Amino acid sequence: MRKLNKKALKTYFFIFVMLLSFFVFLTACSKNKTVETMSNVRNDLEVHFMDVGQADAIFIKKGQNTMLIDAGNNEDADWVVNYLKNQGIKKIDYVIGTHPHEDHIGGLDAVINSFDIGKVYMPKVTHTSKTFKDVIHAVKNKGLKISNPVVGSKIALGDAKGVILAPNSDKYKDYNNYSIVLKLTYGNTSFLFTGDAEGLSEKEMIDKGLNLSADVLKVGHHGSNSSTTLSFLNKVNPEYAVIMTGTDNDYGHPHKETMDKLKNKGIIVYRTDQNGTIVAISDGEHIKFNTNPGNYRIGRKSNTYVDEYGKGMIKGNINSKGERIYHMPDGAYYNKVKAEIWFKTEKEAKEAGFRKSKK
Amino acid sequence: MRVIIDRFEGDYALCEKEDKKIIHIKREKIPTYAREGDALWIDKDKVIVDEYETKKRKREIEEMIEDLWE
Repeated sequence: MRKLNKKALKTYFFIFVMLLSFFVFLTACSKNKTVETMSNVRNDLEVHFMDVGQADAIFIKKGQNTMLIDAGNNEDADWVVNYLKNQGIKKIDYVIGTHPHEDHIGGLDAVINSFDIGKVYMPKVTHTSKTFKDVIHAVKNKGLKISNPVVGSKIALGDAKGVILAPNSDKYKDYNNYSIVLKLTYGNTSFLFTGDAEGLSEKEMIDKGLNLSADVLKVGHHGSNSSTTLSFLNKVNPEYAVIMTGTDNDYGHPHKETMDKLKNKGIIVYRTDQNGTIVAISDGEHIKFNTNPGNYRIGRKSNTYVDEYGKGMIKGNINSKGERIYHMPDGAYYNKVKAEIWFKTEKEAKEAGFRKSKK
Repeated sequence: MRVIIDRFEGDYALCEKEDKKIIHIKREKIPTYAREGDALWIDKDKVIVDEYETKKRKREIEEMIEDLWE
């Protein structure tokens, strides 16, 4: 008995010591763990697909280093600048204007004016728009030069490695194919940013034998059927796709052809029209998203309201306070309201400076 | 009204007005040979490509970017 007791005591003591050391080990671990996660947060690659509607703006952060790929429409300029300010940054090391369309470089002048800028990359092609001119002005006012996006040239964002994969020609019929395509790799994870590159540019990249494989594909041209050819998608072979598009835009983006390809390959889709701003975080091994995925729904064109004579049915009215308000045919005041102007689409009404009636 | 064709999307030419606002013009309303970057002159329902203005703007911007790319 006594022997047993002694034995039991020994066992208890042993268990106690084990537990104690385990507890000490745990606390040490948890301390280590906090240190580790903190340093991880410092080391993670953050990719922000900013919700600028039917446009592109992507902010990338790796430790102290930052990059911006496109800056939305002209009207997104303030929002984009504020978003970046809220990230607590003063300097953007790399600014990429993928190509001169307004839905990509619209906010770029404001960004260049608002932050310290390291390098600016834009394809060597000009546009006659004021939007483009303003970006060039901003670059020149800062005494900056523009770097030519030579295919194969490398951009280091901290210890994340970027490489330029397009454009592969110096003359194209339209601006989309001039898009700068960048692949960014951190550890075993990679992202492919394609701007509005279309099938032609995709084919050039494939024919050149460039390594296109990536975990995350920023789908070209807002999910339009002009891009994301099957051969290209097979080469990239992404696990995730991000589509940057506006809800019920006028072009039906993302198109059925694109969504079918993504669905058939079982690629998980995130989209700004459904998810808002999407943040992807890579620790070098795994990629996490800040939101649940979207679905494969194709874009719906905004509706046109016309009578049998093709005349618009949306009523535009300027009220006694001088407010410009438009009323939809199913609106509460539609029958009472005097139409001073008729519109066919809500877009037309908004472009004319009218806002939608609240009822 | 004078506008610049910024881009084509679907059935529309997206055109930039002098104040940088973008308006949608149905493709069928503009000459088929019109290209991105062309200046358009719009008078009521008539749309013409303003070749003189287009060339002038191209010249201006080419001068502006001289030696800017490295």
